[in-house]
Amino acid sequence: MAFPETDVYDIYRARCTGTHRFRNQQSRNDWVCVQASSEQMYGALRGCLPAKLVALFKITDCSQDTVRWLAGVQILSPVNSGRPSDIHSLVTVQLREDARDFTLVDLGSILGLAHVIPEGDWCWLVNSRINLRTFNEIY
Amino acid sequence: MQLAPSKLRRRLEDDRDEHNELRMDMIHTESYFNFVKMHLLSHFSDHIRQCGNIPIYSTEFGELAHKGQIKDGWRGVNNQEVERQILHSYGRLYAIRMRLLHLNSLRRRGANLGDDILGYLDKTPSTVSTPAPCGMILKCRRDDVSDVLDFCKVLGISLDRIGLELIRYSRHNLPTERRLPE
Repeated sequence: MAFPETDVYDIYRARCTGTHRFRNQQSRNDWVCVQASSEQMYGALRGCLPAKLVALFKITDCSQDTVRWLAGVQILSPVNSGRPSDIHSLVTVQLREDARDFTLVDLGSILGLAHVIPEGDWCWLVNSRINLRTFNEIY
Repeated sequence: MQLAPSKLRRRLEDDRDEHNELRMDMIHTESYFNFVKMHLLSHFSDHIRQCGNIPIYSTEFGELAHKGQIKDGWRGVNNQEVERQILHSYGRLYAIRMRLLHLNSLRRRGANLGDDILGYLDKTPSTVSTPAPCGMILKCRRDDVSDVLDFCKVLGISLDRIGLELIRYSRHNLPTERRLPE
């Protein structure tokens, strides 16, 4: 929902081409925000962690005739317990060596798209200035 | 009197320069580009070099704000101190919406609100619209993936890894009788 409007929705398309090329360029696997835990966790990120889409797929349970929409993601870990830096007031996340390279999550736990800025080896800054909603939630 | 070609060319160039100067003077005297939108353009290249672009985000927020905040606000003014009235109008609507949200929240928690307030809340349409039905569509499905083995091959992830992850997912998200065995 578009902050601070209460009746307007912003629609973004998360793209995940896996290893396929995207429009004759390199493959595109967007960064997304995943609700990984409760709001009390991860400091300013409030339970959300940036993750890279690896695969989007669905599993059909033929016996119950139900379909589950899943996403394979690579979740990043917050640095300094998700506390924003005193210098740039952005949260740093990292890809730990012992992190799982493939985590299955429900498609519904993906809250939206994320923008992360590379900073050093396997570290990224979570950009909270991309829209008002993100700016309101991550501070 | 006929001029030599070199002199004629020089005179034409002088005329063109003079014409250009005159044109630039007219542009500078009658127009200006000293406003925020044009100034921001000068920062875009540095910003993209430092932080990367944001291909997934559109620039429609500004357009939407122009309609919701400026144009709707403009319709309610009387052409006197327009900017102030538009800002007041949007601020007032926003404050009312926040107030209604607070009252609805208090009502859900069982707070003791007056009958007049409850009646007003019943008459007022909800400030929180219900989300649109989820229309998730997976486009561009891959034809070369027909089973989990193909899936592993395409992703470059081992079958064990996928299997473990499916078991972990089923333990966290499925009812007991539907969980995958260890």
